[in-house]
Amino acid sequence: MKLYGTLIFLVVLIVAFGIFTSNFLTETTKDITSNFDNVYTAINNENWKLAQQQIAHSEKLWNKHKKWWTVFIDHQEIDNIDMSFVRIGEYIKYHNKALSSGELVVLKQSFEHIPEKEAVNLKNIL
Amino acid sequence: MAKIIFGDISIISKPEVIVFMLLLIIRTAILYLAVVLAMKAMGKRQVGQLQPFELVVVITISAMAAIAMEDVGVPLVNSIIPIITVMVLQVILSLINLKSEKARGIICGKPSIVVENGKIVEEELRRLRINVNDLLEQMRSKNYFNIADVEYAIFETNGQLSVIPKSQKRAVQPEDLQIETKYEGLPTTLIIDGKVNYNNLKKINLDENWLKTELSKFGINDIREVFFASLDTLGNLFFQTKKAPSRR
Repeated sequence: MKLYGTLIFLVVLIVAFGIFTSNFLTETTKDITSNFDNVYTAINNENWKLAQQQIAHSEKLWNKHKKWWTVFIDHQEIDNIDMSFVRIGEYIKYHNKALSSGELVVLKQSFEHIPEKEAVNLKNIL
Repeated sequence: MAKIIFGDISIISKPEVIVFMLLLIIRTAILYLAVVLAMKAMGKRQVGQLQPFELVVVITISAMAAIAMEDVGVPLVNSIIPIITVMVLQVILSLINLKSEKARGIICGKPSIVVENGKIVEEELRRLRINVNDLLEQMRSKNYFNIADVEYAIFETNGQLSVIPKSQKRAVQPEDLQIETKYEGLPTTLIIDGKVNYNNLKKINLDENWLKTELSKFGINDIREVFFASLDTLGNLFFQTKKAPSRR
């Protein structure tokens, strides 16, 4: 009976951990990328000061959540996002519209593909 | 902070190298403990006695642990969760094995008789893809050098060969000679490295005073001088002091 209890507990623990991880990644992604549209608009309008403020805000949120992301996500992905933040910061600083908007899209994609990669679906299983 | 000089050679400052090594050590220790716990949960089996599905678990667990040990970029949970999952599956499979004979046949397979009534069963050897040389080698390792001495040979599901010799070729048993033998049970360990095992003493309804009295008969007045002592079912006390062996 004790063995069955332990097995059920472990299975529940693993499933709960999986659901928690998936939800956590989705929620934090939404949180970090929520103002990316504002950044995009600011870059298009060449409002570089606003773009810089908005991306700094996102980077602050990212640094807050990053320590937990390292528990679940391949550290290479985290390094890629870090690099992307550094690049977009520099592009905005030097008022480069094309590179800034390009890097922003890459950054958004980097965030969005992680929860997608962790989701339970046939594509990921196969 | 890591110091990276751009160019052909990347240089990392010394304290960073030490921290990196420490990181590897900590991660390795965590994964080692996880693997040890997982293997312990699998039960008491030697590698050579593993069933095929158990061997798969051993290989899988070691591979998963090795990946996260050598690559610090892989989160620990990416190794620990699969290790726990494999362990849970293994325990479930062994429980199914325990409960159902049909499942046991599918999961572990069935023993194969390769020598029956003194004759090699060629079809079975062919089915198992084992040649006669392999069979003879396995028999030799079981101390049967002549196949004519063997009545039955069975390949067990864990790959071991069990051999039943012909009745004229087996070792003589006391029963054959109609000799009465005394009961021989398991000896009880009483002292290990100068420390008395009180639980074992209690089990055989004896106490420390009895042990001290018995040892004093051999000139041992301090239990701490005894390296090992045990009592067999015939009442013989075996002991060995920390310097020289002795036997009553």
